[in-house]
Amino acid sequence: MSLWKIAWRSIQQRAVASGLTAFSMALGVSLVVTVLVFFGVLYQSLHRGAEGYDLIVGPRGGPEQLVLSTIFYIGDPVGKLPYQFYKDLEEGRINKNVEAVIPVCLGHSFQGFRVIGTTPEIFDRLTYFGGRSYEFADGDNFASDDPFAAVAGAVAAKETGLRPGAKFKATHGTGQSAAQHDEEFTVTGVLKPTGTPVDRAIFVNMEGFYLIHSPVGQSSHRDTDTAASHAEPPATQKPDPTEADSDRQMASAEGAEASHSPRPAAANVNGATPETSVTGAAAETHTDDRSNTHHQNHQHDHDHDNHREVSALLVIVPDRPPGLVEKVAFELNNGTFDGVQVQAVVPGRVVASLFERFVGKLEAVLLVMAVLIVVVAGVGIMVSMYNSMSERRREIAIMRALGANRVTVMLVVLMESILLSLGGGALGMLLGHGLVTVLAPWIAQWTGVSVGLFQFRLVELLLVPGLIVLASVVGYLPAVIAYRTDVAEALTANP
Amino acid sequence: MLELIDVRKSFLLPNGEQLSVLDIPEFRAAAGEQVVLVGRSGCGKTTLLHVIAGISRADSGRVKVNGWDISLLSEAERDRFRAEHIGYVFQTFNLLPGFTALENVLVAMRFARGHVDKARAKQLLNRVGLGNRMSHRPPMLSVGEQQRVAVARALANKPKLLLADEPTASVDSGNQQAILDLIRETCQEENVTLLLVTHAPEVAQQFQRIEYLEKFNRAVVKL
Repeated sequence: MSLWKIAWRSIQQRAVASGLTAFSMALGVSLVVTVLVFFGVLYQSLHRGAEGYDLIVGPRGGPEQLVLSTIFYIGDPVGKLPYQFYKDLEEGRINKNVEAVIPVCLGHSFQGFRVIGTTPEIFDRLTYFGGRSYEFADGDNFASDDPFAAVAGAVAAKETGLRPGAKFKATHGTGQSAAQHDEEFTVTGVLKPTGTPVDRAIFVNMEGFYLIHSPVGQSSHRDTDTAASHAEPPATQKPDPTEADSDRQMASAEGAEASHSPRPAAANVNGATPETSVTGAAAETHTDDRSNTHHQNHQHDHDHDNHREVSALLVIVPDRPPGLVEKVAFELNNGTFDGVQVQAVVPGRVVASLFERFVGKLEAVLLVMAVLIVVVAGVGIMVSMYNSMSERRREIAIMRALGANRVTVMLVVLMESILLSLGGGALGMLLGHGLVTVLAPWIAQWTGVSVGLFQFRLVELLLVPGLIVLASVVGYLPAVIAYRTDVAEALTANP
Repeated sequence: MLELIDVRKSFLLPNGEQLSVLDIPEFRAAAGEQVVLVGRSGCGKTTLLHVIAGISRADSGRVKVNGWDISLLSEAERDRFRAEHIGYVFQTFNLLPGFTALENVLVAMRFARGHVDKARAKQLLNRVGLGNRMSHRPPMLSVGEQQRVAVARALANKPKLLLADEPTASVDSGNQQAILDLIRETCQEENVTLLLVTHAPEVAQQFQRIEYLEKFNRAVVKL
């Protein structure tokens, strides 16, 4: 018979009091576990979301806002970049080390899910979560020549009922005042779940995205010829004055019709392109109708591009040589490109910084509060044991009379405290993980991260030594009382 | 086997006076001998047993048990000595209420040796007639059964000396003789020296050697 069993028998003898004190410990520990698991999920979710992106380039502003809006689809975009900047960067005129550039246009939604204007390369070139390729559960990627084609993320598809062949109308903005556009997108594919924010978004062809920017009531053009589809002069469009500021900001990213912004960067760059030279010459030299039409189309293209804007750019940089991402980021951050200044950020670092600065501090505050509750529960154990010591004096004296020395009875009391704490702690861990398991479907829906009953964070293991130390501290006073028990006096006292 | 020489023990009263309880010039008991100590209530019977068991320390004098002068031992050494060499049967049984009958015997082994001999514990419980009540806790046992468990526990570590403090006082009359017989028989079987304290003449009469505390404890004489 071990001393642990002797301590356990003492606990059993006071089952109700012991159970209540252990339960109070369980509640405290469950709170600690819940906080740890939730923030672990949040951390995992943020980091997963940031994986697979080398650089994000956007207008100057807050890097956190750029990352959150571009790859987590949270909050408003920082601003807008000229479309021509995108083309110049993509075609290597700004930086030779850029391998690919994928545009991101924000400002529309469908049933609460963000509608992202982009190119099909987003699923062909990018990966997620440690190099995994995007796969389609149903259907295929949208084609670049179909402006009203769309791909739905797994959660967005499930929640909205979108599947290949389904049609939907995007709404302008994301707020309650959002107004629906007339144009319909057709879903070509549904992605497999990725556990990233991509699951909660709908991706449409950027060309279609630009076509639906018109305020409600104005017709736009569903024409497969992109240039022709923009024949209507965009300058005649006016932004909806009822839109919220954020919506206006996003709307401006959709196209020039809403923003009417000048395009200083593109003008100079275009001057160096064949397209622009043809345009400039054609105004004077081409006389036949065909040439005029060609010229007009180019002019349309140019005007069209002049008025297009993007919210941000996802930039792919080759893996080698090492440090190339940082080099490209440095060059973009410190250059001015035809009057355009941008910021280029490595999303993983921004997420780490974001977590450390904001989420990490919140976690620390909640953890401190939860640990304080555990300490209070520990004090409860001490009070309970201390109060029981007067009735246990005889029991301790019997053990002493049977040959147990002072240290042995002190150890038995300390073990009792440790058993209560660890037992309560084990129950608390089950309660905490049970709560997380119950909430798992919602967590998966919100964050894309699946959590199970046995999803532990290593830091939870610290609870074991922590509880043992706490139990030893709170058990010390009752243990000292046991140590000091006068055997002869306790044995002769009336039972 | 047991030898007390010039043993004195007194207590400090709340008013600051010293109350002498024991003043024993000499007392001896041979190995395997069964001695009954008779004395009225408050004459120091329990205190004497506590001193012999090493639970209390004598103010002066020598207490030798099985050749060891326990008055020279530290408290921890006395605890260990008591566990290994002395069995103790209390008037109020003093069983641990949260433990089964078997565990009450085993716990005494644990404190004495650090390990338990379950076979001997069961054998002892069978010997005292509780073979079918081993898993019962004290509240589920009758008073007589509880004292039987106490006897088995006292003999668990094969002691050389068994101290029994009014072992039949709390037992109903029907069980008194049975308990007394049990203690005497088991001590005889295991060649254990028995020092039994009682104030009941009918119990004392059954022993060959009867010692009256009033006669050899000078502190009682002064009282």
